[in-house]
Amino acid sequence: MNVMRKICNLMIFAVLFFTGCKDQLLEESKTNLTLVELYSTPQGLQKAMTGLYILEQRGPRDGAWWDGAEVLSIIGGTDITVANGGPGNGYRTYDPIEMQNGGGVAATIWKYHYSVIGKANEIIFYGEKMAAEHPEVKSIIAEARYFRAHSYFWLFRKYDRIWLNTAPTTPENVNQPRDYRPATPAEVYALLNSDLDYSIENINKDARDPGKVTEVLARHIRADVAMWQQDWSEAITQTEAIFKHTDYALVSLDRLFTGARLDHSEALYVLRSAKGGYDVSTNRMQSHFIPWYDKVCGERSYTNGGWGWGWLYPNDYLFSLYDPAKDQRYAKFYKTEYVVTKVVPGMPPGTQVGDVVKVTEANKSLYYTAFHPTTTKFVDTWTVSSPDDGWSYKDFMVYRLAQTYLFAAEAYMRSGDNVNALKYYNKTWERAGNTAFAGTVSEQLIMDEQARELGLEGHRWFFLKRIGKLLSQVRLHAGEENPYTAENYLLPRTNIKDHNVRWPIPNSELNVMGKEHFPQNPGYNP
Amino acid sequence: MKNRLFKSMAGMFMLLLCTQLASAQFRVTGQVTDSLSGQPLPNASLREAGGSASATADAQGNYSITLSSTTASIEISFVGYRRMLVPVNGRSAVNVILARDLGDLGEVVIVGYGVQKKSDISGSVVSIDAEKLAPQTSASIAELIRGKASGVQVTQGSARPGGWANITIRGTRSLNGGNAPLFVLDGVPVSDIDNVNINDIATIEVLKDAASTAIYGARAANGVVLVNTKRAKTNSLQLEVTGQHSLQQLKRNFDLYSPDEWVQLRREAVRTKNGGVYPTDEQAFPAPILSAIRNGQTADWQKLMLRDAWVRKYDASVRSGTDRTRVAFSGGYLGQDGLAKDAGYDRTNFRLNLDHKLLSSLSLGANVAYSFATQTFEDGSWDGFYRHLTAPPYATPFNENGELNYIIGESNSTNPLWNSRESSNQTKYRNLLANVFAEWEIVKGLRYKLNTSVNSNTSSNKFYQTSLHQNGRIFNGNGSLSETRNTDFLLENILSYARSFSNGHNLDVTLVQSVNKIDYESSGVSATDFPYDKFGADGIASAQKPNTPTHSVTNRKILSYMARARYNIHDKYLATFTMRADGSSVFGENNKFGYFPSGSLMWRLSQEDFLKDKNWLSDLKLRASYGAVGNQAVSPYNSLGVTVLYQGILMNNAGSPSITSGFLPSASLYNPNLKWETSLSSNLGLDFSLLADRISGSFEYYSTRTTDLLVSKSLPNILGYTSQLVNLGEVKNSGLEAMINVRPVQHKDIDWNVGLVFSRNVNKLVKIDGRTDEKGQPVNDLNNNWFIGKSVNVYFDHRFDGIWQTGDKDFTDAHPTLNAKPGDVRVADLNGDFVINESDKIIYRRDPKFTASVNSSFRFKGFDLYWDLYWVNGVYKQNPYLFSSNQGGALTGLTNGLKVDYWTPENPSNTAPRPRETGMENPYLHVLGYQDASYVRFRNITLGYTLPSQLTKAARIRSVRVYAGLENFFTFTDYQSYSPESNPGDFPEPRVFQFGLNIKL
Repeated sequence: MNVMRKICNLMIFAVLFFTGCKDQLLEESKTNLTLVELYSTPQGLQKAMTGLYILEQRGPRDGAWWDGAEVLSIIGGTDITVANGGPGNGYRTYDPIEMQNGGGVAATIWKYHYSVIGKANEIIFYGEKMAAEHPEVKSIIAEARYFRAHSYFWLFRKYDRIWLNTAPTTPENVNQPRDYRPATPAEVYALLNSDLDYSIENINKDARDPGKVTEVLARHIRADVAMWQQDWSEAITQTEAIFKHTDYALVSLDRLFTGARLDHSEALYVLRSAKGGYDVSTNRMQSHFIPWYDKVCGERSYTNGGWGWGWLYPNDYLFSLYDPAKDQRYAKFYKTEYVVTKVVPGMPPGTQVGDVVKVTEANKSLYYTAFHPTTTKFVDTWTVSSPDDGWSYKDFMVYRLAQTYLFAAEAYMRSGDNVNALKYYNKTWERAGNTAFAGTVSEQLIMDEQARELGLEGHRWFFLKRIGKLLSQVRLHAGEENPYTAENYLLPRTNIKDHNVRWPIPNSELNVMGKEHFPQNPGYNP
Repeated sequence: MKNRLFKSMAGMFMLLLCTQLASAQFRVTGQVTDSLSGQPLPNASLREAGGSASATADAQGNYSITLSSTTASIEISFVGYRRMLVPVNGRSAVNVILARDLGDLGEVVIVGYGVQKKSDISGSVVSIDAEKLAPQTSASIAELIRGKASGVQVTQGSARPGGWANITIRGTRSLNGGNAPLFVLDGVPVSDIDNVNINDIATIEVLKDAASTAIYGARAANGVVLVNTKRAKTNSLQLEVTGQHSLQQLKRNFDLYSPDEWVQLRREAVRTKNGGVYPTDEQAFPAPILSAIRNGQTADWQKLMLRDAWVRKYDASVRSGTDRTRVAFSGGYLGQDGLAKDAGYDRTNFRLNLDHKLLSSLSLGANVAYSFATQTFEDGSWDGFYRHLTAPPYATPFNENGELNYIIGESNSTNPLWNSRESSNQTKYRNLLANVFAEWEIVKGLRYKLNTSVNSNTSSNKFYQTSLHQNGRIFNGNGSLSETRNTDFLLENILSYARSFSNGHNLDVTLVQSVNKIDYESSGVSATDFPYDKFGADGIASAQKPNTPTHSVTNRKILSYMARARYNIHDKYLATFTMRADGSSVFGENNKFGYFPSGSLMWRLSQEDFLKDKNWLSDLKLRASYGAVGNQAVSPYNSLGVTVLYQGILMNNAGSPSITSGFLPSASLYNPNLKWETSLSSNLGLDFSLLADRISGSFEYYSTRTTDLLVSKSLPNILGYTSQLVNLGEVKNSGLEAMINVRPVQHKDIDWNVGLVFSRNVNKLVKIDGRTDEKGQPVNDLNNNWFIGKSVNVYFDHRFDGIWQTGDKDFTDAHPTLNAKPGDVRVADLNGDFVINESDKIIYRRDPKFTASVNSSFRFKGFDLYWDLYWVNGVYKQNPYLFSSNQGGALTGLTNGLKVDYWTPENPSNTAPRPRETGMENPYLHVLGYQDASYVRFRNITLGYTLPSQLTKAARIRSVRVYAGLENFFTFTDYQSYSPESNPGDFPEPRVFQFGLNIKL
């Protein structure tokens, strides 16, 4: 009995002693680094930079973007596209209702670019803290400053009014009062120039990976920024510096968009995705442009472009810019014919495999759904498993050397140097199989070549805005006359208003910043 | 010898004395029975009020007493029953029915770290005795509670086999954390109680106010549900066997389009796009459907994909006790087929509850429960639970040889039966709860209890889509194996002291110290490109493209100290004070601990002199309480600032793109200053019992203010973060609750009991994140649909205002901002500015205005009939069947769906818009989805018959009961779905026929 008591007493005290310790409540993550750990060593900073690459890659690819609302709204809304529905279609048709509050697409893209900027700010801030001791981090800072400049450049061109922030956000400063006001263009350009100049100087010069920031990529964007500042000589300096790199050259049109990996000498920057990773996602780029041709061709097939839902197409105006007889891009970049690959019940009598689908009275209402001509730049037969598979893992071409040549041609043209303008204009023009042009390079010529070469790659809207032709071109050419049914494909022409040269700022952001300091862009719901 | 003689002499004398007095005496006989069961009460004591005569009832409850006069009264008392005074009024036979005394030791309530007499409860506690619910046969604990306890809202979480229900006590308090109550199973906090066998449950207590829950401090902010399992009684043996079969059926309250109506809908949709001209069928339909139409081949998908499904439940238990050891052992099996052919649930439970008296002052006990369950899921790859509604009614699911066709239509064109055949998805759950405790009475009144437990939950999932499956063919087979392991350790030291003073004062004090540690681990592997389909996910080792494995580890720890003192004077006045300190690992380094005091007072008016003698009043008491509880509604590491994994493709050193891992801070900014969310709540209660318990009940009023609410505050995106978890907001919940029990008939052979339960809760958001606009008004959070002064649970959207008609064209042309065409949905322009924007939106309430229920138990001899009616009033729910393209509501004609009266130029309907091929282009269509989901439902009707005991006694059986029931059988609602409780697209709630047999030995 006594022994029993003693044992019990001992038990109580042991238990009380071992369980009373307050330090036990301190947390420790067993799988993930803390922020402090991440930002205190060059190795950690490198991992953060990798994270930023992936964050950037996710932009037009997956997550909220997978259904194409954003990427289509970047590519669409121009003089060379016709919108055929899909999420966020209002941004491609300048729908006053959908755009009025800056919701949807405008909010997602705003948030996405500011999240890239926020993380870049942190990498730059903590990198500079250790730069004196570890000079090797300068190249990481250079990558981060490229991303910051790139995102601000994007935002500035799309929204005009943006808030410039270069400080990292921390729990300590998050609630501090901030001076919210739209940055002046001079302030924006000053930041872009200094970030990109730093990047060009400090980036790892050996890098030759179109999936990463390189000196050439930074120069390419620096040239674009210079074009916006009408600093033609700077644009010439940057583009000429790129052309000196022997690693970069135009490739044949056959090679340009062919294959799962677009690691060729013309690629300056590609967004990657690949099968296999847990968090690595896919893109649906081809699906956005390939129609439901199985309705008229009998089945899905690689011959006709694989899987798709046909939400955006090139329009008749774009096709009118090509000479199909000479310009190989007409055949290489587009699909204008769909072929019957399987005869199924319901097809007109006498239909045979191999027949090219023609418009008939019976199928004309399916023209936009099933067999409108489209682009093949995103078509993927390499990573999809079957023609019924819409999930693609093909690289997405963001910037390529052809655009640099067009920058150079335009910069020389605007500086009055037709010789050099011609030299660079003919780079893409001749590659396409055309005979060399020998006349005077004009803005109209550049504008048309830009469409022919880079059409539906997402640069057209910015280009037109920069040269001041967005409104006039959209009003004249956007969408197309529907030759077959009463369905209206001319909405962008009639909808676009002067204020649509910039997107609305998300209302939720204005509420936070205070509309009195930071008002909505004119024309949208204040 | 001498002594004996003296005794008998004295006896003789007494007898003589008595007979002498008998001249004015009056003899009364009768029987004493229990008011509930009608069973006789042996050994009940009878006494003449104010006199000296007394008697004791025999084994059959019969008594005989000789009173001093015909006008005397008999006072009858029995342990556990209310004392009763019956005036004889000259009757010579008086049968007495005694009501159980809720205030007696016979009924104690487990209140957390101890028990309390039910009559002494000063907080707000609803106690449910599972024995009383025996006639009703629910599948889950949540269903048992539903409609039985005021202030408790039970909603369907998932109705699939092995699914769950959500329990909310007194409204939604936390915005960020869950609102589920804390479940305490036999004294051990557990994360869920769904795997507990219903037949093992003895009692359920719902603690609602802060004073009652404060004792559980952390995690108790949303109320506490105490569940206690059956234990054996000393020196007894009980055996029980139950078998039950139920048939589940699906019942919808809406129509689908018939095959021909669907064809017409499709034509209309294409016609809209065609500029008003009808298309040919070749234009409108893809080839497979066209041929089905031409050949008149229709498919009833509901019949093909769903079935009536059986549920089998068998339970056996043995409870045996000696004076030192008591053992309760039970085993149970539940097998549930799903309405969807591939869904199902199988569970086996074992439980052993052991109590052993080691020494007179030291006892040991253990509760060990193990359950093993297998849940299978229907193919949900791209479809969800609505393909049987949306699949085209003209279709050929089978070819001429009776084999499945792969393609049946166009968009979503795969045959769902095909996908169903080519996929498998199965989760196995293993749950072990081992709880060991020792109790030691150190000196009289001073007790120490050591309570320890380990609760280990493992669930492992196997998922596979074959190379023929719609999704699996893309990957040439797609499979994964994943496992989560959740281990909960608890160690508690409980010291209690109780003392009764001679002047009727009682004191007890309890001290608790506890450590609770919860480890959560999960890992998974997935792969594609399987060489064989035949092994399913088990063949993953041979898969040719493995994906990166996943793994996560999360720990949480809580340290607690609690002290409670109760003081009781004559059972008339009672005061309880509790102080609890909780430290949780999830908070910031300086805010780990929260302190939560509470107090409550009880005053039993019926014991006061001015009410004591009122015969009509059995009990009347007033309760008041006030207290604080904490909520650690934060997932771990929010205050620590951990990074998240980013994996993508970058070029590796060898120059080829490969998977690369990076880390970045999450989109939510960490907060090192996070602290406890605190709920302050007050409660006023009135309990009454009238006319010898014929009418009893309670009323409650409460008000709970939850402050330092853990809110995910939206940050301006320009700062690079989207949100931060902060302690900011404030929510107020106030409400009224009533429970009334009426017993109109109470007799040995016939007994009827009716219960009424009413709850109303008003939820109000007082503060969100403190931001104010230019005018100093608090800013609403539109991202989260949070509005100051409104409920936390609302929809914020436009109001349906009919359909734009052809005649409105002049008006719409004059107001281009409305962007309307005839046949479009018209939403109300509330401020009349011809712009439809945020200021034209209204708030739809998602919380019911009130819930009420009536339940009735009726017994006539061997028959018992139970039914209950459940009423939920004033709640809106969005119905995707009315607008979602996936769920067939988009009027595209691509899919079948809920039939509506849609607009066409010839049929200018004002209820649904014009069909369009692309549903996304039908503006404001989703506004049609807001439907009033109020409902009245007969949840349960059960008729049982217990064989006469004379019959069963011969077979040495204590009782045999057969029963049949209908569950969810009659529902009255405007909400068009399978059930107003479950979301369309979720696994629907079936209606159920039950048949059962219960044998007690």
